[in-house]
Amino acid sequence: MSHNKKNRKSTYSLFRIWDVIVIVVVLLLVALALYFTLSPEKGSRAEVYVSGEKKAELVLSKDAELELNGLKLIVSGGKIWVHSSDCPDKICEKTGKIYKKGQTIVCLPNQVIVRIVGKGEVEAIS
Amino acid sequence: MSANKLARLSALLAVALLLGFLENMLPPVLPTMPYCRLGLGNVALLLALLWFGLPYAALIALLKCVIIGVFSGAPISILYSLSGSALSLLSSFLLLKLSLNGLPAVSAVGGILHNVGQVMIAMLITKTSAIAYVLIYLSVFGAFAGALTGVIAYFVDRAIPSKEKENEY
Ligand SMILES: [Zn+2]
Repeated sequence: MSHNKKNRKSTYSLFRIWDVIVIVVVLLLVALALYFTLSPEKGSRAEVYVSGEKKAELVLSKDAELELNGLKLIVSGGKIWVHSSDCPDKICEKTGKIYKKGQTIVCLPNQVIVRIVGKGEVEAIS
Repeated sequence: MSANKLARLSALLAVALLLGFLENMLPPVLPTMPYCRLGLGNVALLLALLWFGLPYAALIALLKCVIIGVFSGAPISILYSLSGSALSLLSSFLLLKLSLNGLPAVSAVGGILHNVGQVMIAMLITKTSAIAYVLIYLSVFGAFAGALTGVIAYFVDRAIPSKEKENEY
């Protein structure tokens, strides 16, 4: 590389050959994300965790409401969402309705996680 | 420290804060993923790294995370954003030292690791690995946001190159 620091323009480039590796990695990530998105396996239950401890399990086919740790959860029409929360960022509310296996709602300030799991329709306890 | 350097550092911090606050007020880019932020304030951090090196970039990152965290009313988010920024700055620093990659790629890797750091802290805070799966989406988002950041930083650096570039990457 040039040694005349004074006159040189930016040494940074928009593209160098090693970027191909980065691009390949990103494409793999995109493929993986698409795979997860396009496999629309509906979940049957929602597990609710507070501070890593499972506090409740809701069956998605049964409409319900649950207030827990400052969050109000609603189950309706096979989906679950955070209706309201006393947390400052409201990210859990903005996440919206979830129903696919693996989908999660995270409320970091209140340490609540709602996660959809599949199968086990039979074990619906009422 | 010269007046020029101080002025540039202050300007970078101001831009980082302004873009950070602005982004917090605007609705999220992807409605289904509200925790995804473009992180345009990181343009300022990347420029700080290019112009003044790791210690100054780290200082600006620290100030940005703390100030935005305090004003957004969620102090826990300081921990969250700090861990992301630390990982992303460190990786960008190392990749720039290696000098094998273009700026957008360097920044894309930083964007991915930014989100990896955040999710790792989130898993620690919530004491569950249930959110590990969002990592894949956040990584993809971080890669593109990071690449965009890198492109912007590249053109800003060309438009106003620092006279006292202290770092040879
Ligand atoms: Zn919340």
